[in-house]
Amino acid sequence: MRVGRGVKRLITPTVQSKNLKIKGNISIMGFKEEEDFKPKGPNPMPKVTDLRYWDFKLLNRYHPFYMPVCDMCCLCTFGKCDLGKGKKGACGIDMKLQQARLVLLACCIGTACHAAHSRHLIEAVIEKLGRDHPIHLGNSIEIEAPIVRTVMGIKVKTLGDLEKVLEYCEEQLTHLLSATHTGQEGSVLDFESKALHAGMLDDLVREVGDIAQIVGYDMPKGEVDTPVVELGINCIDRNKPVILCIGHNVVPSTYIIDYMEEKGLEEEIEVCGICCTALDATRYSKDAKIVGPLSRQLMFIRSGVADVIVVDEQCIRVDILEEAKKTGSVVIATNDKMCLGLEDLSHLSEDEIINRILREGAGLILDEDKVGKVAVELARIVFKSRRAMKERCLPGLEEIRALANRCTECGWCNRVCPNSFPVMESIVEAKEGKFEKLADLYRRCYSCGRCESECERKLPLVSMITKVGELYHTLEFNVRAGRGPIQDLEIRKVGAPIVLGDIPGVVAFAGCTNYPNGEEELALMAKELLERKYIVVAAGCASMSIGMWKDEDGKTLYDKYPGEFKAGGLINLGPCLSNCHVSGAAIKIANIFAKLPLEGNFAQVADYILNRVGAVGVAWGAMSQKAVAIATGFNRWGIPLIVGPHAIKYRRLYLSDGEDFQVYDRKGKKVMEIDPTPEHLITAAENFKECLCTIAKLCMRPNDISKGRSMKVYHYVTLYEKYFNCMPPDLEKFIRTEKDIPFMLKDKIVEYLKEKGWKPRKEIPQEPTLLY
Amino acid sequence: MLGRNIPYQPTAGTNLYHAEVVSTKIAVNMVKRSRRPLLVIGEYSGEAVKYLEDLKIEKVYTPREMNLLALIKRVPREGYDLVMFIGITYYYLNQGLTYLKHFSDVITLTLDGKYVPNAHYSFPNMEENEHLEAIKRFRMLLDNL
Amino acid sequence: MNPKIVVIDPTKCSKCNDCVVKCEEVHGVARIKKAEGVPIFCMQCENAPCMKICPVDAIYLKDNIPVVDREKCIGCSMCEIACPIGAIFTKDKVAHKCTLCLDVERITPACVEACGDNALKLICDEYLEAIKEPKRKKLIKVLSEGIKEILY
Repeated sequence: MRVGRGVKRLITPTVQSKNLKIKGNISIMGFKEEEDFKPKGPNPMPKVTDLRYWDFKLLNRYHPFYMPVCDMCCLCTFGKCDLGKGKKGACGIDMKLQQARLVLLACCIGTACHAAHSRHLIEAVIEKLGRDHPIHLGNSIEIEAPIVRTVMGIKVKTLGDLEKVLEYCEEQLTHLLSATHTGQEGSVLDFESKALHAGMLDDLVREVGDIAQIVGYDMPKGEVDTPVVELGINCIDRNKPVILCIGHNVVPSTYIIDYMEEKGLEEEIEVCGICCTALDATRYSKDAKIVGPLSRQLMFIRSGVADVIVVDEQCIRVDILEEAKKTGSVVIATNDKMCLGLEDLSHLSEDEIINRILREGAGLILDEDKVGKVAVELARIVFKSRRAMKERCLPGLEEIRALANRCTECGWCNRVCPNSFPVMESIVEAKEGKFEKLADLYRRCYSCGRCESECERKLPLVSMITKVGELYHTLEFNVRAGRGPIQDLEIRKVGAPIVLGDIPGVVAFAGCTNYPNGEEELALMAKELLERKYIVVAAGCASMSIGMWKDEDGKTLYDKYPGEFKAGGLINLGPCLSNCHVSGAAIKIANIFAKLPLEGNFAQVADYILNRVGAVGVAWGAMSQKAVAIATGFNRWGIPLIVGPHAIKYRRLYLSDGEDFQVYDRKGKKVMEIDPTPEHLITAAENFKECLCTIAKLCMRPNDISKGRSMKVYHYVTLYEKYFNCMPPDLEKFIRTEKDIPFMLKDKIVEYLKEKGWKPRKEIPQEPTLLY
Repeated sequence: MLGRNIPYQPTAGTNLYHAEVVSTKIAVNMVKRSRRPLLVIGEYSGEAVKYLEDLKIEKVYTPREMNLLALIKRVPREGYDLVMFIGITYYYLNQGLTYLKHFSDVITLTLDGKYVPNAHYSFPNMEENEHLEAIKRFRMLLDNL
Repeated sequence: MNPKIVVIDPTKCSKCNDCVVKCEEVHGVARIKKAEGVPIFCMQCENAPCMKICPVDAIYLKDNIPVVDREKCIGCSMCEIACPIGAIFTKDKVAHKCTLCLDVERITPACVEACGDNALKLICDEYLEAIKEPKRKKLIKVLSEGIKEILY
């Protein structure tokens, strides 16, 4: 029997109401369901407006809070239009609408990026293994793709199924992007609902992409003890030919690693990476090394250690050719998203390509299986000629001093530094041969190079910082290779303690490296949370940054804490695609612990997560459009998020008024006023102290039992006292009854509550829900 | 010497509407004329904070007492007509202020030694000691009222 | 000179009337007059002739700014004659002049905020000093370099 989507929607209510089962093979948009057809939720494959009712529930509580970056709109030729002082543009758009529109646009860019990335991965994997290759993630993972199940209402069994999920996403994405055209949407809430839809799609395509590469390249399938791999600039052996891969797409790296293994060159050649490609390469082979997160990109390129630079897609410095030329490294572009104006050499033989690149310094190879040999052989050849000059790529100390003496102390480097670091002052000291300040910048700077392009005297500031930094600091750390999804068994163990509040929270560090004060702060945040037995998970550049701190015994957090999804566990999920396993874990809790059916049941599941699962995301250095899509994806699932100070330039947060919320209590069968938890859906913190305290606060949920709440309150209060030397100023909002007061702090809190005139709540919801 | 009314971070402006530069005297006068002023003190005020701490103006310390953006969201509802800021991360404050600039009638005044374009009124760019003198003077003039 | 005045940069003024309209909206009667389309603002004179000439002492100082006491004013128009630039006038039997919005509930003058051309500025003596100082230094530098050139 073949039922089209329309027919299915038609019969859904009937099936639900009469508990009918239809036997046989049912195919929905080409998906074969061989088991009994049991539609469980109302929204399989939701269209743009299908989940609007859920979004509006969220937005009604967490209002969009806009901070325009520009007074104008310049997207069409009616304009530029001045939208300041309450004015409207020629199309009738006003300032708030324009912000909402731009946020949607950013989310679409981010989602498109992940979708295209996943599409490319799937095509590569299908070419290798075939469309019917089964998706099997080991015996400990039965719910193989919780996001796909919930959103699409189907199980994915083969790689071909994944392709169809992508088709759905690509179609939806087209609708969403079109809504940003002039004269399309006229309501802020509808723009936001679409942005949330884009965020959800982003989550979906990330899951598809990550599963494709896990299956296709035999990456860890949720194993707890993935190998520990080396991380840091100093882990790379300069005395060998070095291949550096930058970007997010693992495919070229796999060919490089394969070729090396085939020729037995693992000892002879170093393969390392920056950004997510590095994380994926280490999931593919433990011999690959990680230079660092994105923040180390320009520094490492400038150091000249890399003989061959292979770029794929996303977050790569677009002036890579110019930078590589300075050090004599050769560049291989491998992705249609980043061709860099280079001639396509794909049709040539590998040896011909090598010759061309040797002559021209760079080339584009879109046929990835040629990249393996070309990169490796090029590295061996180029290394010979570059060997002697590797040490000379950066200026020496005497030269740095001489350069510093050319500085006119205009101070513009400080002004263009995104974090207003004291660049000028450190150069002024370097004039006298004092380099400590420059060395300190090495630890905090993310090498964007804006100071350099501003400098009147054309001082190579990044190179100077890198050289001095390398002499003063050794960046040599460890990180556990990305493990991918969380196992069902782990969820079974922690589901109850998370939902009841015995585990104070699950904190997911995501996002890029636009940190206000260097990578180390992220590690220190994670450390504080791990000591307090939170579950800490991380993905993307954040997971690398967490590794960039050592205790006095030289141990990183990955050495100190287990990789299991349990209280006090530190999990590297993998690259930014792997952020999907955060929402994935939350969904699995709903399914495994609460027996909530997933298929087509988005709103129910999200409602459950929002009210019960104490998970919080932290995107401390969120920079890219992908990061805003990831964040918005978390938000639609009801997972609150904290961003760093730079990320308010995304223009929009979702903030509540901080006063009592309303929910419906399914048990008591009535609407109820409750404590405002979680207080915001996406908010920002100015510094890491505030971020830590906000994490503890946003882990609270209306459904916490008293024991759990008192534990969460304990951490909120003690963190506040540790970092601000005072009680949290809004504590009374989160203590519902005396039972929520932690025993250890009883006297203090009781006194505080008395001062505030606090009164216990008369009723607490047993089964809080927004869906009423 | 910096241009006195060029954003300290040169890209911090929003193209059309930028803060009017004010001197301490005019700032004091604004405080005096305000029905209900609020002073928001950040963590990076340095020595200047000494001269502001015991002022008889409602004060909020951010982030200790309140998140900056939660505060910005709240200010229009609470009936403040003048909000002053000092010692908050430059780009963070500047970006957060656009909410009040575009979506409220609240007048904002920044007392940092760096010109903040997205306030309504801002001190000009100043050297460190010059700024401290300005704050001392601000304090003295307020006391003399 | 008075510590605070509104000054206009006539090269920036587009003669749009926004300040006059705003003034009328705030005060009922526009206190700003126009000459050839460019608005004229009260100088807030330190020794204000309008105040001196008033037979009933209806003009008093508030924060050093002359303000008309509407209750006392008899609408004799003496002030109008005394003012050298015509910044005070009588209408409906009472004198009107700019007070920098001191007599209404405002933190800053309304016209300054209304000006879309950024032609109006609220200026005080301090501000002038701040501008003066660097210019003075620059002049001294230029002069001293000139002297050096002559000497060597």
